[in-house]
Amino acid sequence: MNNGNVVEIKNLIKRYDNGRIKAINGIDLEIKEGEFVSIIGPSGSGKSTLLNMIGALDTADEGSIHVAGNDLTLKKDLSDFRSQKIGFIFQLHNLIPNLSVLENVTIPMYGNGYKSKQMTERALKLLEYVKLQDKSARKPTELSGGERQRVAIARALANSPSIILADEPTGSLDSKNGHMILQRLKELHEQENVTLIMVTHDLKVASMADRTIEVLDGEIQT
Amino acid sequence: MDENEGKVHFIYVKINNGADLNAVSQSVQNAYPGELTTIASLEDYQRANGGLEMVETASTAISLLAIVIGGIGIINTMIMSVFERTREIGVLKAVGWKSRRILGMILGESIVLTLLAGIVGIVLGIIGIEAIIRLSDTAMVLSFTPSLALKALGIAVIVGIIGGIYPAIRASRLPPTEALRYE
Repeated sequence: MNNGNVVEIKNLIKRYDNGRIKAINGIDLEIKEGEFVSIIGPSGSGKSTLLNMIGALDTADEGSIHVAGNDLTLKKDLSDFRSQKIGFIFQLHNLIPNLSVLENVTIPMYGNGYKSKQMTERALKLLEYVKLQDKSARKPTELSGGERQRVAIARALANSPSIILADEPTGSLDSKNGHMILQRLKELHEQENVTLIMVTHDLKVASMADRTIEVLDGEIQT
Repeated sequence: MDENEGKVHFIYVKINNGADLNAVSQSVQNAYPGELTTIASLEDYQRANGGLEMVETASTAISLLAIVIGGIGIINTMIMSVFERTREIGVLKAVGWKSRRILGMILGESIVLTLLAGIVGIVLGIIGIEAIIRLSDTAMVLSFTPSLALKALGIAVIVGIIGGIYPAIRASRLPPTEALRYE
């Protein structure tokens, strides 16, 4: 992919329930490197499935999907790809409750050649970036929703990924915290030239992106 | 009994012709009160030996039963742990953890759990033996040796591996999207 596209999807099909449900129905999509794209659509439209497939959390039944130079339909073990190229931010932050904030941020670094001290230093730096360095020893349950989502952003940045995938990152937050999270993500996109792909059903949130893609019944609406 | 290898279990005493067997036996017992028992006939010896063999067989059977029950307990505990942490495993996969790292994590937890249980068991065993010795006036000497403790820890590790392998494989093969959807 030397045409500047970081994501290239052709005729992507994903079925569930023994083929009875077509979650993705022949999607073609190209996303440029450093682009901020929002994917909108109602519940069950296939937007999260599409995001999961870009992040190699799910596999395609048909079609091709290339992300950051990797053919995701060919590779069997995609853990290295997920670890090094992708940073996930989920709606419900998905932090591990019995680990400290610092430990949660270090999790993606395991198996990437970091020494323990390096992992701690990097995690502290990332927590400083999301303005939570003073809460590194706390457990996620002791933080507010907005703070937890900021920890999730720090965790997503742990291995300096080139693509951030955010699935409804503000979905469980109030408008003030939601706005703050979006500002952080936008800053990240602008300052670090990170490709940001965000799923949302909120049109106001989607309007912050460079481009908006609408998914309905597993197909992109043009 | 084999744990007492190198120690004296039996002393054979040959008495002179015409000597009173019961009197000699009684005087030996009187000389070492509470430390040894005397057996004065072949029948008594065979009875005592048969009793000891039975105790040894029963002890082995109880140990095997404990190992099997412990193994089932570990499988159950680790399966429950994997179930409860399905979403966590999904997160680990989403951030790029390899299946073998997740397998190692679950297996490691299982081994640590059984090792800790083994240590607690050894401590309780020592306390139990001490209590039996103090509370009973048996002439039988109960002992607990370091090699027995090591054997117990070795068995604990093996039980940990066997009991943890299935839940660990199950966890490592969880599809990330399914694991993340788990409530």
